[in-house]
Amino acid sequence: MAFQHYISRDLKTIPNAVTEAENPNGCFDCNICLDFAHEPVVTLCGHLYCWPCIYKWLHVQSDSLPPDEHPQCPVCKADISNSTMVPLYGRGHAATTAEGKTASCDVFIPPRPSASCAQALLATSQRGQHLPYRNPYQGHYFTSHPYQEEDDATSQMLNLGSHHHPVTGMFGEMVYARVFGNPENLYAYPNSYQLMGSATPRLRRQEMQAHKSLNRISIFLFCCFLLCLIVF
Amino acid sequence: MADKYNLKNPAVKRILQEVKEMQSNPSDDFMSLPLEENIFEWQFAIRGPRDTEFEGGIYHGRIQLPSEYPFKPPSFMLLTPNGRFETQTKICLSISNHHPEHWQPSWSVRTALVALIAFMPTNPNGALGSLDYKKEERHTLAIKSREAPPKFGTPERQKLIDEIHEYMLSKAPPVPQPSATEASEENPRNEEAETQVNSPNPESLPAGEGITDQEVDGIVEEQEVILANPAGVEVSREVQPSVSRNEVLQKSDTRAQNPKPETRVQKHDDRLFTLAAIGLTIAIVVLLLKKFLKSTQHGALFSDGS
Repeated sequence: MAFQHYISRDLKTIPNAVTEAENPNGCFDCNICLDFAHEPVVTLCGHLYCWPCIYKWLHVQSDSLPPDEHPQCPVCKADISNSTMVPLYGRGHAATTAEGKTASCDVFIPPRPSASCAQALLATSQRGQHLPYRNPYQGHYFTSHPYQEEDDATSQMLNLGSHHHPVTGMFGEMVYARVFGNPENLYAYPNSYQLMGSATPRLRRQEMQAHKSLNRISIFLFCCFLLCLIVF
Repeated sequence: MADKYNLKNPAVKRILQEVKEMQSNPSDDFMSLPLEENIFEWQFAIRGPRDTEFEGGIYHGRIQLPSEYPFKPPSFMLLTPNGRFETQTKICLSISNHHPEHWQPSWSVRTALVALIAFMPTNPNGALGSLDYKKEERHTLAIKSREAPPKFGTPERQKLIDEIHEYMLSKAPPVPQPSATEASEENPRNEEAETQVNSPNPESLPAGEGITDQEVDGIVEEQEVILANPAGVEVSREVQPSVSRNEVLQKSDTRAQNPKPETRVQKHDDRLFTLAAIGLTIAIVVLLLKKFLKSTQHGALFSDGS
């Protein structure tokens, strides 16, 4: 009888303390403090924690673990780290709760890790190097094109200034030849630029072929120059 | 009672949550309550596991929770003579403070007591605070444990021990009387129980994985653990396909890069030849025009002179 009374007394007093954050099914309770999760974060294995609780546990565990071992999820012992945790943002005033939570803790707790897009997350987890490498290369590829066009325009102006022949038809035909040759030049330069960066034997052969084609172009231009001299 | 405690302390909040959960979901296998004056001091009583020499026994003990709980493990001390663990001495288990590196903050007093019940019939292997009595002696101690609770601590603590003992008496069935037939049958049962308990990994026992005679609460805990382990496996599996996909992307990129330059070079050569031919034609035409113009001018001059 006294025992039942003792239990009932406990039941009366304890629910008052935790009425504020009571959660009926415990679905969103932290696995460490067993209370409604403040600043919730989720691990890749799907377990929910308060950010202050898991941060403190990561520090406690890293002190006792050997250097080569990874911190483990307290529930299923999967490998976890700060970078692989995903924060959850719901409706309401998270900042106020965070400030209140931080004030009560004696250890300084940094803000939650920021949410990252899926591609960056995959890159981080897989240690992939290709995605960040290709993007700046493609950007540079685009920027190199207008530079070539500008250079060709300058050469055209010089050609126009140097030749003053009275017959317009012949002059027009020469200009046409120049204009017709321009796309080829534009087409060749990016190709050689792309090949210069690599060191594969196949690519080296292609690079040599590109150099040969450039030599042919220069020889052709030299012949044209000689013909002009002969004509005059 | 709640007014006495500092609710801002995470350890106190956690312990209060555990007390509330323990009272809302009581178990027939164990009972545990904290002292009113100090919430970090608990008294518990466990029932001996079924089909073992401990069956029917009620064993009392004391739990001390650290101030950093749940980030540090508690310590356990048994008060009733039982033949498996020493009394008045802290027990060395993977769930106690002897091995803080094995502790997980998701474990609780409930999981610790379930693990303690599961450890009763195991082989001590010379662990600290362990005993290795014979089965007959353990059986005698089990019968004796029901008669009266142990005497320990302050009057308030003793009162709590008495209340827990009455609760356990009402829940636990009496010790089965060993007859000749039952004694012979008990041997294979005990061996099977020991085999089952010994085979699982001791570290996983606190989670209740190796326990077979648990009730609804235990079954729920086992299911949770079983569900959690495949999640870990799934995580590892997910990583491998991602890596292989990345390799496939690399290969496809490499293959895609190769043929393009060759095609460009071939087109380049063809265009070069075309350009050369056009250039030569233009040069010839220019020469012809030159000669024609000179002849026409000469004719004009001649006619003017005549």
